[in-house]
Amino acid sequence: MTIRKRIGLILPSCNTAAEPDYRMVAPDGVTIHTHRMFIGNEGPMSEIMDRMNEDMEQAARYLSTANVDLIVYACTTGSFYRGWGFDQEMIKTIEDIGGVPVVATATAAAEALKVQGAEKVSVTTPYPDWSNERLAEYYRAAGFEVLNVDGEPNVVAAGGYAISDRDPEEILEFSTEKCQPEADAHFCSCTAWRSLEVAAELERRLSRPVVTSNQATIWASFKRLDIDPRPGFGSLLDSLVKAPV
Amino acid sequence: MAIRKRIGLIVPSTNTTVEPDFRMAAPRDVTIHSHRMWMDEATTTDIVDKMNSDVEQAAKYLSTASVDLIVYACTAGSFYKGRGYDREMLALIETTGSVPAVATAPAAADALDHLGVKAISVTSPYGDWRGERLRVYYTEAGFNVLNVDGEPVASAAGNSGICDQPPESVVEFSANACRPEAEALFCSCTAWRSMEGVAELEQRLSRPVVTSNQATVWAAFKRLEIEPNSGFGSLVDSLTKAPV
Repeated sequence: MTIRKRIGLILPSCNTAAEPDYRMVAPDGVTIHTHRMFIGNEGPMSEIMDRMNEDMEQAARYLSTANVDLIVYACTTGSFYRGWGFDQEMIKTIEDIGGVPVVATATAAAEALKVQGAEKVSVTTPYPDWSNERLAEYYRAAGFEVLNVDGEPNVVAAGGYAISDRDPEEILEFSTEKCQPEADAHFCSCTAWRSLEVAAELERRLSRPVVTSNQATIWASFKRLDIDPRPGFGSLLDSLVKAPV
Repeated sequence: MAIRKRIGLIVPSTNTTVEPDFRMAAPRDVTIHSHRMWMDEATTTDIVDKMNSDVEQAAKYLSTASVDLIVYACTAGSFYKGRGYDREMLALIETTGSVPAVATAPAAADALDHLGVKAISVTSPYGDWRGERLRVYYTEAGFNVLNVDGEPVASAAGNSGICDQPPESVVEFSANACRPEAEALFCSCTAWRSMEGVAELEQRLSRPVVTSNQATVWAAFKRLEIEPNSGFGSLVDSLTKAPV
């Protein structure tokens, strides 16, 4: 038996969706290893994100001792809130510390939307207005026409720590309703939101590609490490499946 | 769809075996969330002291994930200061995380007690003081520790290299090292890939086999009333309600 391929995840401490999402898609022979960044639940979002990212370098250092083959920064807001370009600096910092290739969610989602041929995108999120505005700025700077960014009201009311508690069905219903008719693709943002589990169903309903934060991040990671994902998590990931589906 | 049950794991940073072992045993509606304590290739007691200075932070971070239980998943880190120290560590985690905690060294002692054994053989990837500290801890816990044998390739491979040893090698070494008079075999170390070989070891040795991760999974699942996936030895299978 050979040594398994290892993926290191840097996660917001409250996130309980990214690890199971990776696990659902990863074949045998690929293992997932995590270190968390502290995320608070009070105060302005910009301060919460700044505090969280203070832990990023430590996370890269700790994960590098596990001989991971790739490090993933798996938070969408944390990689888009300071604009297009900041994400690249962040990737560079982690690569320098970890000595392995790095993938970050906001960047991976932009690449995924490009690969899916999208120009006009509708976006659903579990975010308050501040994050939705930063998201629109980032993806506009990345070259997309952002038609709408809608925060699902129940989860916005429940707060950041409750994002991973929400039912995937709620995400499916809300996103089906909010995707604009002229959108080329739909993007469900946030690695703590359980959208990956309904990505394939959402694509069927909308008859267009759906990108989610974890799906795009997994896609970018698996592409880089040449890993064959399990099928059934949307057209983006299914495009990496080598065996006939 | 209900909220899934969540288990928080505190693991040494070099360890890449605990997370997949928990995932292998966990059913679909149980999710595993981890955080690391600093470990490098050093094998002194100082590095274990340093590692354990990260325990409180790990419990604090995992508590923001609303986990139902926190697991301290390192055997040497919970036995090296003897019986008593492990309880202090559990109390610290429970106070910080506000949820029940499980730690590997006491979980393995509980597992061996549960199996009703006294005389045990132990295999490990330890080639240093850790084997002796292990003997002291489990002797104090009431067991007759017949032997503690360190697998030489793993012990020369360093802390992260332990995880690279294939389960087949763990099985071969442990099958040979288990004494005829042992009532059970204990494969110690959460970084060692022994859980994948436990069913085969039990078959070959015709006696119960406890491994660090298997005992930790057992203690965690028992506490949360989780039904494990089968195939990881008689200890974990004893929690399976459906016919195996």
